[in-house]
Amino acid sequence: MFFKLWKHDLDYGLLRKMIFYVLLGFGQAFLFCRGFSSWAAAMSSIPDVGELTETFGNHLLYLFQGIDEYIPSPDEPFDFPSMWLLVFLCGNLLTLTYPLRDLEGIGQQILVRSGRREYWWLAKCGWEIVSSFGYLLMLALGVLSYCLVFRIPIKAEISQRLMEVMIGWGLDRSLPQAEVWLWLLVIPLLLLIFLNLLQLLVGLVFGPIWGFAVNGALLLLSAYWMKPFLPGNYAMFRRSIWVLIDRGMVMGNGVALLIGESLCVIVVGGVIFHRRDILKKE
Amino acid sequence: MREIELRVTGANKKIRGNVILEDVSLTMHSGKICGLQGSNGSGKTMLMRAICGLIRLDSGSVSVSGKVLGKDMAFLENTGILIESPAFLNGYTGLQNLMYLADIQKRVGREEVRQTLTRVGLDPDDKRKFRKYSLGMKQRLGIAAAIMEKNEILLIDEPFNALDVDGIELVKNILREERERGALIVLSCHERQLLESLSDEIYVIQSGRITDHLIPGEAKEPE
Repeated sequence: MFFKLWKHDLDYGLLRKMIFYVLLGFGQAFLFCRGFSSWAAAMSSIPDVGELTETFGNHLLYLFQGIDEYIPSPDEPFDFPSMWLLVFLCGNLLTLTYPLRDLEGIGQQILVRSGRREYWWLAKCGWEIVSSFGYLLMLALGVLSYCLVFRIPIKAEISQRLMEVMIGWGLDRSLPQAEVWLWLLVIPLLLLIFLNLLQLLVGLVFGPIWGFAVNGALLLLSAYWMKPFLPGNYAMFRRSIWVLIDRGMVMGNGVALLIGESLCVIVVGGVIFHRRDILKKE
Repeated sequence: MREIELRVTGANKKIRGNVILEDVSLTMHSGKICGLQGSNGSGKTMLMRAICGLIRLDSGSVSVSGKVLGKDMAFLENTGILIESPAFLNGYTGLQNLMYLADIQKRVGREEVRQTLTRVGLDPDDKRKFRKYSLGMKQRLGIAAAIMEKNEILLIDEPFNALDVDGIELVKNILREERERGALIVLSCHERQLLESLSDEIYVIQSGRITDHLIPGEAKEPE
């Protein structure tokens, strides 16, 4: 029964809306990559810096660089990580309304026929997971398309020199390419899955707008405060162990935290949904 | 079809401090149409939602032939529902919508679904998506969804909304046929005359309370 409902959600709630995923993914990719290319070109003209080679890997990493650790001081205003925030919040926006519209509509027929509330809840959780993957895939394909259009090398190699210039200081050791790529493939996805599941849970209890607001607040808090229990920190390259060698975020801890938190949301949400009154929008 | 008894006992429900249902008790049997009559906001729809399991009672119980809702089953089994305005998928045709629902329990196939659409006065080959349907068409599709699987129980809330005179007669005939088939039908409507022409008994509900129980056709004792 779960697979039946999930399959339908993927068809009606994702594939039929794929155009929005493509637009947001490709749109952001071109916008931000253009900015990165312009910056790299400007930096290359500085004699001390020299030629900087952009690669597909660099562009992808650029999207998730985040910001340096913020230490509050009167002379240092907090710098909003606009691009980083936008990337994740767009992923939330795409999944904002479908679950509640379904529940207030044909979902009630589904619930009665399926005989168990858990099937609906788990199908929606499954849909959130696949939707998160779909959005980030579109983002990556957008970056790939940008590189093809502007003849940027489609290389997985992440140029260390470019990353050092971007971050603003030298990295004491070589970037472990495979580890960084693993981070790039896994952490943003896990963070987005957790945020979308959280949005689903909060949305069911308080309404979708509150779900979105909670996610926005959590991301901002993560940006403002570098603490290991704030999940957004793990998805900022600038705060990783490869940049902040003595106090950076460790990928393994991030994976454990994000998976643990996601599972908690699924379980707590299932319990709440089990008791929830299902009403039409008043 | 087996004989069943649907029993609501002492149902109470508050939402945000407002009394929605207060000490509601009623008993219904197969092969009968039980009418719920009341004005807008009287609690008819909420009672329907409580009966099928979409809302949880604060106290009291709903049971079908001894099986208790919330303990033995999460939702009423073998039940077709039409509660409030019919809601379907805007991007699907009427047939696609019903096939999606039919696929969940797989108790009826494409041919039966097509026949049900014809029965309610809709064209099974209509290529229009649900978003293009008129209100009357949407209502007919809602009725089709409730009856297509030949369930033991039908919970039908205000089925005559948005229907023309012919549509009303059609739905009345369908409900009579379903009763003849042996279904237990709970029918809510704010119009007393419509209910009296169909129901075997009528519960009058006001502000969440059952205030009267009538058998249509029986004369009331003079006071």
